[in-house]
Amino acid sequence: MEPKCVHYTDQRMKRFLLLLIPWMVMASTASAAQIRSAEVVFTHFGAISERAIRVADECYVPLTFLAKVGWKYTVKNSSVAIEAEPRGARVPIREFELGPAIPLRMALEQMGAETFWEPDNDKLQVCSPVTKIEVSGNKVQIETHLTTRPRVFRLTGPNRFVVDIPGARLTRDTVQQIEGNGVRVSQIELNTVRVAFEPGYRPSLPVIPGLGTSFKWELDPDEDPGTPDEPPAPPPVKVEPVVKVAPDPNLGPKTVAGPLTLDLESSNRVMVSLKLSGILGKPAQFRRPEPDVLEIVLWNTQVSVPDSASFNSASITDISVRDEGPNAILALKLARPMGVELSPGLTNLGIVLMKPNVGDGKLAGKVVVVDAGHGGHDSGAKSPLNDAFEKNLTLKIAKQLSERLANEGATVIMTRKTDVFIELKERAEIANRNQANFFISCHINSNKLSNSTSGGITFYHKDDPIGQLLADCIQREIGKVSGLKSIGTWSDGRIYESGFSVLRNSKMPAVLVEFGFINHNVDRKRMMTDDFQRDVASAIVKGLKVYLGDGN
Amino acid sequence: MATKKKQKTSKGPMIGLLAIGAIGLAVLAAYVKFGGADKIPTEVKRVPAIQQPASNKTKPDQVTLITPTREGTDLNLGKHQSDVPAGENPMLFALNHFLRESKIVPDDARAVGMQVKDHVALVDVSPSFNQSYGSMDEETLLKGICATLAQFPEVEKVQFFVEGKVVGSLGNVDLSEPISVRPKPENP
Repeated sequence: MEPKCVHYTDQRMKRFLLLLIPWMVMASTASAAQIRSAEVVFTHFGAISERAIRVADECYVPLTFLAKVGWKYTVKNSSVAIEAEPRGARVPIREFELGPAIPLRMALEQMGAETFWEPDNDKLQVCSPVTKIEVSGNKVQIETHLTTRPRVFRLTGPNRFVVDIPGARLTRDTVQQIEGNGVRVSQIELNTVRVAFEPGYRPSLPVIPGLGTSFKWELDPDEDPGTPDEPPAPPPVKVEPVVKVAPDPNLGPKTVAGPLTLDLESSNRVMVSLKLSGILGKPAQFRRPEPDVLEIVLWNTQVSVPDSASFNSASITDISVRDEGPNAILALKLARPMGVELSPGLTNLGIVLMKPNVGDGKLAGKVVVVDAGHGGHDSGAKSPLNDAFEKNLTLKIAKQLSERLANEGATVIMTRKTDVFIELKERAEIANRNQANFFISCHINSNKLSNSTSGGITFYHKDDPIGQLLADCIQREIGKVSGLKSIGTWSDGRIYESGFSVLRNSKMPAVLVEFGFINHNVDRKRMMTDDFQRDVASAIVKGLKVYLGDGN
Repeated sequence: MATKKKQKTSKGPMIGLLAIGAIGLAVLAAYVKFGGADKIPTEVKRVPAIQQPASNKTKPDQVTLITPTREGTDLNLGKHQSDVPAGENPMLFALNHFLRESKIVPDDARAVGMQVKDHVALVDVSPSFNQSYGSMDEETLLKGICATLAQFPEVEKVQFFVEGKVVGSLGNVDLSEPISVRPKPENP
């Protein structure tokens, strides 16, 4: 009986295989069409020179790749057993043009690594999850799942020490036990985790920790003042003519930057990266000379970028570079005003452009909450002779603004129309309850020394690129008509860490405008005129329309 | 006889050394019991290095006084050491110095009392302190007050009260909850 059974099974198997042949041919033809050359960026190793191919979402690498990343392996029949820390893997072998190859993502998944394809290209990032970051007293401990090689170095602006872990990712499972306020943990790039220490402290030696999965330091006082911080860039009113100067030998060798590559372009964001030959001596900064022009200031850098025509992005319509002293200015002309975030890395500068949600792009139909600061028993700032109060000026301007917004077809909600006190949290809550599109808060500034400071500032909530864009659009228009100096736009985190209550609690793009200084004679006299109040109200409406692209 | 004499002289230094050792131990025990060793507050002993920069160390009877100045829009907080007058609370002394030097609050505005509870400095201020200011003056007041209190390791946060009621804000920043006296810097 038994031999018969075997014979019968063999026959069934043969018939099954014959039926499979056409499907296998079709499948292999289809997959051959999807095979593309790929690149693997592997934790701290960086880009691996071995050839790799992408088949759908899998990445196949030759067996020689395994030795390159320090793995031992044993081939058994048609599979490979890999020995690696912290745990091994077993995967099948497939034959490709590059020879016997293994599915790398399958192997890494078994090992507990994180892998992902970069958007819009065939570069596979292999990262180690960070399992634990603990800061207790002056002791720091960082643990990673796979072997990594952290880098410890000093940054400026402010002067502080940071630990970067290239080829690492923060995950939902990363345990963060951080005591005190002085340490920040962030994913500064897709594949780099940064731990930034409080200024005034430095990790104990060795600052070059080497390879490993567990790293410990103690924080020692840091007496070195470091390189002085770069002063904030002046408000860019117009583009200065190009001034070429000879290289300053005191600045050291220039950082070489370029090319500029497009990593992602979606309906709401654009990500580009500028390759750098090294770390910039000072952090890159950006400014917005026009709402749709972005200028990135690169300290002591020489930049080469692709020709605009060859840079295939609908959001960036022109690219140019010029020198400004020893610095390079990378200028991007945008299809429309966008929020900006710079994320500096070890070998590149990430530039993230955020497209604001402008609906139909018209001010008409939008809901705008207009907030007149202070009121009732809360007079706000006062003039030196107590003859002018912030609460009265803000109400007058808020009424002018409301009238003009209504004329444009916007739905206007005022937080107060009379001299009454409204709690800070309630002001933002009014905007949230009404699902407003914008929140505009009107205020008047003060400085202890009369006549010492003059001009207007528009605040946005810290780390809010869209709020910053709105503030830039509005302050730019106010500066044109107010007759007072434009100090610029400021993050509210500059006043205190938590920012302003009304901006922090509003769930829509929100700004707080300080029109001028009540204890500066020129500012006060100007702000008390009907002309000023009308003009700045119209300027805010104009700024909103620029932000929305209304009327272009 | 010669042997006996030699034995007698060899015991003398030994007894002397033992006596000196015993006196030393007694002095050390007396210092620990009655001296300054047990007067160091527990909080100070336990402060990790990250909370107490070396540059901020002062003598126990001294405090750092803060005086604000502005260059354009930039705020500078000048620091100098000062003895605390006898009988004065060092925190109140330092805080009132700052308020006076700020020239922002009314002349009669001052901190009238203070207690530290669960690392929060609960500061009673006079009613004239409780008003709002423009954002630049608000920055000066908040940063100066925080810098003044940050020198005391036992203080992590601060909250203000006028006649038992919380001061909600000095302008735009929400003070209805205690705020940290060691705020994070603006840039990560």
